[in-house]
Amino acid sequence: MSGSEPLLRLDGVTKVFYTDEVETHALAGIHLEVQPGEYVAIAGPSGCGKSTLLSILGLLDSPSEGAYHLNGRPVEKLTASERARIRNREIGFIFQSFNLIGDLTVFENVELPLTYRGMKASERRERVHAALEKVGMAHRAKHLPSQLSGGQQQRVAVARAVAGQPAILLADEPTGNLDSTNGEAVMELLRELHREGATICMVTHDPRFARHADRSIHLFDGRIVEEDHSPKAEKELEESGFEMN
Amino acid sequence: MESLRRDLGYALRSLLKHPGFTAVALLSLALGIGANATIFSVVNALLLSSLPVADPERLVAVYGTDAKNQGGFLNYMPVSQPNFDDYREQNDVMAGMFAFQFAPLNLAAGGEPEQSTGLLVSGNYFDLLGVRAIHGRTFLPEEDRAPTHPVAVLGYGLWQRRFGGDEAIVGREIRLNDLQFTVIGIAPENFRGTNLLATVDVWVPLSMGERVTTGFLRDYFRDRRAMTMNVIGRLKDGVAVEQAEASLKTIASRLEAAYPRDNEKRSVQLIPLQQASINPALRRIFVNSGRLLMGVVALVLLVACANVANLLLARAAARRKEIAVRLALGATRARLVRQLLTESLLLALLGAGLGLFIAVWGRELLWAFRPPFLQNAELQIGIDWRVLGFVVLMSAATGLLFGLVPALRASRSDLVAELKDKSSQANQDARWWSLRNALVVAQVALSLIGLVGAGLFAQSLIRTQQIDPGFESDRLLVMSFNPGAGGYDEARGREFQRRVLAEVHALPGVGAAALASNAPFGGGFQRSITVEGREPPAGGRGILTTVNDVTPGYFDAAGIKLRRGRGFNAFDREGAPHVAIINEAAARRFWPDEDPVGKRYQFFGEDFHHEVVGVAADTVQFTLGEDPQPQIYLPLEQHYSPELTLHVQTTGAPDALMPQVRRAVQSLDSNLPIFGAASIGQLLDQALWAPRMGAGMLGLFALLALALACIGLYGVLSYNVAQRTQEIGVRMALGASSRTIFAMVLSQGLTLVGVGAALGILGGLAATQLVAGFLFGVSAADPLTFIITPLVLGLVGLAAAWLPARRATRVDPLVALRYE
Repeated sequence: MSGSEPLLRLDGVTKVFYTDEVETHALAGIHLEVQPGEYVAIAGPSGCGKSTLLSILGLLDSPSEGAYHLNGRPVEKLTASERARIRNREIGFIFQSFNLIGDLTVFENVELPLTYRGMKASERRERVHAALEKVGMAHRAKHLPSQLSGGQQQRVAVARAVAGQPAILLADEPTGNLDSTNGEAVMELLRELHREGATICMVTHDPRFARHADRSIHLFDGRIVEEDHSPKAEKELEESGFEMN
Repeated sequence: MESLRRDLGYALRSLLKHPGFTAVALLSLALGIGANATIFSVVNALLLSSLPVADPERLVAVYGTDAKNQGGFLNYMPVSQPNFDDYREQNDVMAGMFAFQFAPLNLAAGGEPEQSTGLLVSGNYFDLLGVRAIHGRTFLPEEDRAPTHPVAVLGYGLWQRRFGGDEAIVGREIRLNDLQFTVIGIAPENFRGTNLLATVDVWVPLSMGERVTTGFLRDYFRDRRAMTMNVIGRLKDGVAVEQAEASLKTIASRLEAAYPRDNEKRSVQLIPLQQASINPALRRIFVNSGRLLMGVVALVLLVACANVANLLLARAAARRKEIAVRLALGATRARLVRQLLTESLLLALLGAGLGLFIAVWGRELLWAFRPPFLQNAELQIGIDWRVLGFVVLMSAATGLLFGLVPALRASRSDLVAELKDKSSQANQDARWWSLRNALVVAQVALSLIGLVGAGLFAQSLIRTQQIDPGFESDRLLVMSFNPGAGGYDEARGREFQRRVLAEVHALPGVGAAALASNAPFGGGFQRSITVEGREPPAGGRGILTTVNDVTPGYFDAAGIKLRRGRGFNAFDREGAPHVAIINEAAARRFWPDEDPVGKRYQFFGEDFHHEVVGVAADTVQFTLGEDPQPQIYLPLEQHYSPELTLHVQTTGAPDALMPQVRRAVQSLDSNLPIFGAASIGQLLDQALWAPRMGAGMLGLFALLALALACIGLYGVLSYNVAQRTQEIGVRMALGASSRTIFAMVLSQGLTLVGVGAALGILGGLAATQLVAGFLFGVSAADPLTFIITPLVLGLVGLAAAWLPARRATRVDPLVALRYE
């Protein structure tokens, strides 16, 4: 598809879960590349393996078989602490249920991944402020998550994901727990981040939101069954000399 | 450092945000750590603290030994003064040696007459210890050489108490045992002698000994046979204790050869003073008691740790998602474990802080349980660096103990499932073999061990209370006085005795009154005797036997039954045939299977025989439950004793008559100090210290452990019910009755209690063997105790399981099925 080095590449990734004597094939022979700056939506019905795929991309889980390269580096067999380090520096997560820590303020929640990086306090402060400004939540820095609405909490979660300036943002049903207005606002925030150059990989089952992405991957029974590009993306690709099927 | 500060700050905030958890955890830890700190502070004061003297590690106590009389305190005897002089002059291993002897001194200055604790000491006593007077000076060498220097150094406490800390007392005169002494100095506040349990009021030169002592102390002051001098030596540089002991034993052998009549089978042993600031025989009792109590409080701490670990596991379960988020955001497992352990350690340190408060209060309570012979001891039970260090180390170990497993477990999170709210951990926690349940089982087992121990000690106490002391145990009062120390010679002393008895007899409410040289539970002077016809080889000594000089009415007044023969009467006076009454233990010992009445024996060193005219019942000499010890009663008229204990049997309550009896004695001499005044009830109470302390302490700590275990059981069952709400709802939707649900939860709780109790019984059978030596009249494997305590535990467990079980029956199936 492109001649440049992909930010992440999956080759024949398979994931099998074993429970008692039952084998469940969550992913089967997934081949996937995501380019820097690309906005990819992973769609499919419930149980198709999209969240498993995102977990593997986010190094929260490991493939049973196959290779995974992140930034050109094989990462499928790293130790737990090496994976933690990569998660901390190169990946930003946005979860469906926000997953903010209730005992920490908004500021501290956003700061949290930076503290694990050993960053100086002054630099942390700057980054947190910038991230909160970006999502429009700087005025709520001293609040606790329980004092925020769902939409505000998700914006804080987005700020936490981008504060560390990761290589890729992984969003797992980021609007799943939000009403349509707040959901649209969060999607707009992601679009804006993408416009600024962020690479985003988002799991969604909502076709409206999948259309915001440059490319949509459709999973079914653990396999990629369809891959399409948004009209805008197709146009850009065609202008670049790529032939679209 | 910054991340540590951050972890600490977060931990503190987290604790503050969960006040219920924090309060229960802190209370558990405070009680556990406080109990340990309490016991340790007393152990520290008794067994670990150093005397405030120069280079204490170079000082050794020299104890006399006697192969013919061994066991307990007999293994650590003083030495005679002539032998001490020889050891001091002939050895080449000591930089110096000094002797000292306790002597009650009647003090008549600065207020009411009182019997003060005097110490007769060699002239080099203070110099060798490296102790300087804070005012004035200590003794000069020449003041030890002849009884011509009535000088005294006052203890700081006495100086403050009697003389208001007036420095001008130095150079002034005070009367001690009716002799004028010049005060030459004041000892430092922290120096109270070399015996941790005795506070010396006044030091006087040993050279004055024969002038200030009375009775047998004076009679045997310079007798090579009488082991009356405590001896301490300072080792020369480079000389080890063993080397010095070998050297002194060589001198002892020479002394045995030179004076076989006095020194046969006698030698010495050396013990570093650090281990001899309490008599080693007594120290051993303290060490064993300390071990027992430290064991019991360690058990309480373990139960507390299990409690807090359980709370932390519950909290970790509630924090699973937070931990998963942290891991997802890049925290390593080690980093998370560190953060969680920081919380545990902070909790432990806060618990330790509260525990120290408990210890400050608890050490006073514990010391209040001390034995009667330590009633006047002024032990400094402080919270020093050693206690603080112990508490800090213990709290750190405790924090790791209860925090590590929950931290490791919490950090082993199923990231994907937790982040998607699909964890199966909750179900795992509700299973009966979960770690939390295992902790409750451990708590129940440990509590049962404590309860069994308390039960055994309680039974031991009951059995001890049922012991017949051999004398009147209700309507008897005693008080002691020492006319000899008040300057009375024998003639005046005898007259005083007669007048005291006459005055007291005349009081209404007095049934009988008598005088004796020994007080109840006070033991007495021991002399060796040889039975007529069974004399040992020439010059050999006999068996040490307690001697009690008494007036004719003694057996009636003290309520001691005469088993055979007769009591003393007015005809058993000076010039009459020497007669004696022995107790049953002496009869069994010296005339087994014979009628001792009419038999004769001889005291060592005397050239005449005493005829046994009666046999009295055995009485307790030192402590309830002891094996009966041989005792010989002699008529006071034939054996003058200057120090006496008045025994008064009353017709009513003895306490009510005490002031009149005291006034009657003081009406004869208002300057004569009266000491040891007590009703027999008070003395019996004091004598019950060991079983009472055992039962009290173990009971207290066992109840504490039981309470903590119940909280643990209640917590686990409540948690399980909460976790199983949906399951319970399904069961109810499928037709389970409230009774079925109630029984299900209750049986889960009782299963935990049952497993814990079974393990506790096994542990108890092993653990109680360690305390068998402390028990009286009850086996360490007493079946009754091992049946009743698990039943008690079961009932308490039932109560703890009742509430969660009731709560489970109130689950609304409709709500539960929506429950997430």
